[in-house]
Amino acid sequence: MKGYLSYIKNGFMDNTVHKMHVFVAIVTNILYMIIVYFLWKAIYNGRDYVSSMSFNQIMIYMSASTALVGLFQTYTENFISCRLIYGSIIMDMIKPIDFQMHVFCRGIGTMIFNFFCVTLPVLLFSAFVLDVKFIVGFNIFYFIVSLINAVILCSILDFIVGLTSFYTESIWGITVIKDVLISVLASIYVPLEFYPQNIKMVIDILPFKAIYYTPLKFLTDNEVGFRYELIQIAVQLFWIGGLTVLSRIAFKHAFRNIVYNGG
Amino acid sequence: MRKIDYYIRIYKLLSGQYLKIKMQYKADTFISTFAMALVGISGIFIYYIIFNSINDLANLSYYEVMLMYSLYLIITSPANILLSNMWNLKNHLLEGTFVKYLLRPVNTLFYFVFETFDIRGIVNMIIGIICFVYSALQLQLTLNAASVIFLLIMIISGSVITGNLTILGATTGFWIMNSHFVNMFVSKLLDFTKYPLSIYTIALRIFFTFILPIGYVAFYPADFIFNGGEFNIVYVISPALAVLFTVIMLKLWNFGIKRYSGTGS
Repeated sequence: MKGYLSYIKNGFMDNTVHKMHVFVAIVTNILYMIIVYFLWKAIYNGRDYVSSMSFNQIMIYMSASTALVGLFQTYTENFISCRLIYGSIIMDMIKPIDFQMHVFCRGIGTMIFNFFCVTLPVLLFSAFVLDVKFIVGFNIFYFIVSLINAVILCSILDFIVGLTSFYTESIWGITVIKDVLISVLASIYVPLEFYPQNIKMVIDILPFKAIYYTPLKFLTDNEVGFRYELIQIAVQLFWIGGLTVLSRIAFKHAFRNIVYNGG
Repeated sequence: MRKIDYYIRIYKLLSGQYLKIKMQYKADTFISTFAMALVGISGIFIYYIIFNSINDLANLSYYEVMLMYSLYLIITSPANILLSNMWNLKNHLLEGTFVKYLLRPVNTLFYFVFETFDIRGIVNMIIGIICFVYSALQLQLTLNAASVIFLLIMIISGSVITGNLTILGATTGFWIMNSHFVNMFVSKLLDFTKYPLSIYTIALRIFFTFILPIGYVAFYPADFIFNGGEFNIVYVISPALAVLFTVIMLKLWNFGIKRYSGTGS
């Protein structure tokens, strides 16, 4: 347990090296929220509802999605590929701690850091400057449960993507592809309510929706009904199970193929 | 004249060298080119979804917005292709290898910029041109010859402004060492230009026109087309702003390399 804690601490401390990072992260995210605010204001153009969402709801959705994108930005793929390319992964393999758990804990540490330098500033800016009124009720409970699931899901996905660097020896392109697919398929930029029906059907059978849309839906709408809430959380758990199995298989396969130059 | 020949020869040597490096990682080049194309297309896709629920965005139709976005892709491409080394400047500064550029008998900026190029950026230029033609056909645009020539000038000016901002972002590294976050900041700032300038408040619009002229990256060239190619003071000053920013960039770059003292190793 102590070992895990120190990895979490490592992940946190790694990020505190660059003080400029914190400042720029806050400023860029606030800039982004300003863009988002004006964009949606122009889209609503004085209307109360567009695609059954009010302007306040859309602003809750967008500020929370920006906050979550920042929260989940752990650069896990880069971490894995760097360790592979420089060979320090050898040291991780001989440690009595599982590599995936090590990566996961490090990711949690980074997320704790992100929480203070992205998530919190974005939410505070939205609440106090953009005057977004968050819906606070029993939905917050479901939001937190689904957020925890989303954190786990996101970590597993990042780990699987990171493993691809074992085969391609490059990670930048793969990471960008993952980011774009998630941003479109998990409806980060535009809520799922706006999507055409046929695209929505495709998104429903993919795991990406469970990372962002599920918690965001709980946050923006507190009248979705108990049944919907339970089903969505069950879907998240299903994907956590499925992807965990997949990640273990990929992990075994990748490590069997590892080739070293003796360095 | 001999000097120009000399620089052309060096350019050929540098780009040949860099191509050889890149040929080593064919899979990587292929994957990341695909990734960049995906980024470009996703922007259009998001507009497609938004316009599923609305008819116009700040009085612009879907194809008008698409035309503007395609100009964004075209105008930001040269900076993405030519200035990829600006992201590496911080590594050279932190590790002290920047000295090598100062010791060469060529202009430092020239050598540094043309040492690398990001061929992958061309894919967004191509997507941009395809979208531009497609939306221009849908809008049934007609421009006279003078307007077309001026549109090209505006596109070049926009590219020069984008490039200068990118270099200026990296140049801060001479003072703060790790300029990565400033580069990130500049690229986030350019995100403002993916959307029509007319959605912002008047204060922001003035700021993005005269002080930090990123309005010229996509909106004003598009606006020029929508106004039927009629000239207007806001459009006409774009080459002047491009020149002004080039002068500022050169001054700061030269000031920066004078200040650079190496790491002492």
